[in-house]
Amino acid sequence: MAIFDADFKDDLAGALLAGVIDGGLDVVQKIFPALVGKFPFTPTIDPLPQADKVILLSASAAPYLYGKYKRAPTTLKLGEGMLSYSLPMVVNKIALKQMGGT
Amino acid sequence: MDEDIVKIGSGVGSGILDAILQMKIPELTGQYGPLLGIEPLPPLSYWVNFGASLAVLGAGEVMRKPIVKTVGKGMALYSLPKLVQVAMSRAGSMLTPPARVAAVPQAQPQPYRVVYQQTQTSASTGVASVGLAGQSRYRRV
Repeated sequence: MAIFDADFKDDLAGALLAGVIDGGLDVVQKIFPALVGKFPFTPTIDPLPQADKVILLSASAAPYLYGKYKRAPTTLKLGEGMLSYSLPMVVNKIALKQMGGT
Repeated sequence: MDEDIVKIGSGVGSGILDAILQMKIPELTGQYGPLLGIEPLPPLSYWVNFGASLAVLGAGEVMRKPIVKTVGKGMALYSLPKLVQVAMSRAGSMLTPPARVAAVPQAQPQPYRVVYQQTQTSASTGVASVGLAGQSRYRRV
């Protein structure tokens, strides 16, 4: 299919990797509730989500910037996919907080 | 504009749409049960968001407009992994053993304190006054 070209596959792999890492951190937090309040499940500055989400965003930006400036296309696409998941996820959490959600 | 900026930006739009769906339409947030009654599956709002991204992607494919396709791809890059993440998170909630949940320190309710109130009637005015706990006011006979 024309939709699933090689670039989009790399993007999707990066986004799914970020989603699985985020889901895994949620599972760890739920299975071990004693970890709530301890690093990396600590609160940050007010509108921002928990530290693990912010760390995931930073970890997603790293391969994107590396691929952008070192001109490594696979790393760039992977980082782009990770950033395509984690940046909207952080924006979503901020928007939910601002709208009075959890 | 760069294609990757468009993708990330449309992903951000998808994230905001996700938040609006969760906040404004309570029927979609899962408070009426999970989709199809299968517990680890995400609530309907996430599927609606994913469907919206697929619709934009399909529209771009049909209309042969690359920018619309890029926007749809960016939305799908957020909404598809979000489905995976929410499913994992809900499965984690199901797997949480009750003993560990019980081990979480929670605020214990304070035991009831029985406070006796004693009244005192003034002989001159006939008005009864309520005494506070710990103070020794007794009714005069």
